[in-house]
Amino acid sequence: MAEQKRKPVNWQLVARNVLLGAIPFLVLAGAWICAVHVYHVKPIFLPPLEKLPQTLVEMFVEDKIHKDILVSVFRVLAGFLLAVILATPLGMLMGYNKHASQTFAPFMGFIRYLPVPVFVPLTLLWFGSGDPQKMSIIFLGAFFQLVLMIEDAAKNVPPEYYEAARMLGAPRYDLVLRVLLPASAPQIFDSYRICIGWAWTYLVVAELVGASNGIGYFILRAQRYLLVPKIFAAMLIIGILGLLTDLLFIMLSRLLFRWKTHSR
Amino acid sequence: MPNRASAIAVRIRALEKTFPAARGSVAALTRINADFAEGQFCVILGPSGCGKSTLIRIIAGLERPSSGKVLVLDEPVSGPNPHCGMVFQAYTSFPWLTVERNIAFGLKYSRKYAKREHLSRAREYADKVGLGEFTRSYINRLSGGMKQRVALASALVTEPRILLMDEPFGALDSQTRILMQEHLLELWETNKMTVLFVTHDIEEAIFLADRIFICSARPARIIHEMNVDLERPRTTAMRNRAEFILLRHHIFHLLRDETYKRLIEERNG
Ligand SMILES: Nc1ncnc2c1ncn2[C@@H]1O[C@H](COP(=O)(O)OP(=O)(O)OP(=O)(O)O)[C@@H](O)[C@H]1O
Ligand SMILES: [Mg+2]
Repeated sequence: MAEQKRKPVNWQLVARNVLLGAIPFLVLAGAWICAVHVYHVKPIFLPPLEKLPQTLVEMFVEDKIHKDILVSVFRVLAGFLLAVILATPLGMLMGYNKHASQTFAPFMGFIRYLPVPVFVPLTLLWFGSGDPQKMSIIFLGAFFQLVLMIEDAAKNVPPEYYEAARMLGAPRYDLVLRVLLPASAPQIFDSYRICIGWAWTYLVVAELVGASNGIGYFILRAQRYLLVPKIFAAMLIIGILGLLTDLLFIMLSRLLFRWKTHSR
Repeated sequence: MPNRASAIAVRIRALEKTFPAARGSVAALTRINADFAEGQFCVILGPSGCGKSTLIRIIAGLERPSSGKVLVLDEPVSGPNPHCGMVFQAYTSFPWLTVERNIAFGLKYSRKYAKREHLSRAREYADKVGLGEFTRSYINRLSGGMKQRVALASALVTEPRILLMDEPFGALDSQTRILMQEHLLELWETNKMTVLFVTHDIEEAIFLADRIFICSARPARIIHEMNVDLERPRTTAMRNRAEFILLRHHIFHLLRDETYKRLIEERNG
């Protein structure tokens, strides 16, 4: 009992979870195949599922879609990271200090309710149509949401922890680093995970208007030339990227917050 | 060290505390006068909701009095004080730290210990409270009794002169609670620090205390003080002694009157 041993991986459980998770995908694929082969939906609306792998190969070999993917991933990461770097301290301050919250919360709430596409015309005027404009869209979309979510995480720290720390001698400035930060970190991390999902949707919004590369732009072009299979394939790629990001975050959070998963 | 057997560790004079409430205000403490002698195990006993936590939080420096004087080791209280350790009613150990890191938390602020000694000292105290095998465990893994042992060790590790305890065993089952009481006394026998222990449990009060301070219903006043003359070390067998049972009855009736008063007051709004 002395050392906490790592639990051995229960492969049976993993396999079961993967199988369960696969069910909706299989149902969707089945419905798709049915629609094409039984109800003869026109390929212009719904291309045959079997064509998807071939389309994907084409996209990587001929269209060099990986370049667009990299461009998009870079934009998302850069915009999102900037939002994280600025939103985390501000949100924590607002959660910790009533006056800071009273000062910033109404403004954040105001901007948060502006739909992100509203910023597209303005940012195009300000930054042109390059990477900075795409990043600014993602930043604007993520930052204001993040601030409020992080504020909430900071507010959820039970005041008893601060009092306990003060009774143990901690001066006020130490409460931030030794109580607020570790106590709210798991929920803050969760808000990153949720927000990066939104960041992806904003990216595609940004790339559908005034872009010259990126996955969103690729979809737009495919639609223009009625390359419907490619639209579907690009959607598949975005979905897979999202799934991988989510998995990465979940694994990281398990690693970082072992104390959470190590409850009884 | 000079003989301080008669010195007063905590002196309270004309203490009043009212909280602002939705309509008007709530009086929690009124006209409190008390002297808690250094080196004594003092128990503050009162019906639930009477203001016991408020009193001990004011002594701890976590809450400000509305008026009156509170002196801890002859100094007026202006905030949490390094001479006071505290164990709270709820579990307040930090779940993101292991047992040893929890216990070591306060050592950083006490200049008595070199940094490289912190962990070994924390382990020593984990041993003292019977958690020697769990130094690397996280708090969420522990039972309620073990959590309070961690809190106790965290408070004791810096060797405060006064230990404040606010119903520390209130959430535990009765078996564990009795074990914890005995364990606490064992630890206390080794250094006889001043303890201010809050509880609403009469038997717990008698078993632990040198001196009991009985509070009225809210707003709390101290209506009785009495010594407990059972010899030390206390043993479980003493709980069945005639003097123990008589004292329990005596206090029971004192408190029952207070609890009635409160019920009537609640009924009348
Ligand atoms: N911060 C506060 N603001 C307003 N009212 C408060 C505050 N703290 C305590 N009170 C009120 O003061 C009274 C006494 O509360 P306190 O917690 O001191 O009682 P207690 O004897 O410790 O109760 P318990 O047995 O439940 O622990 C209660 O009526 C409570 O509602
Ligand atoms: Mg209380």
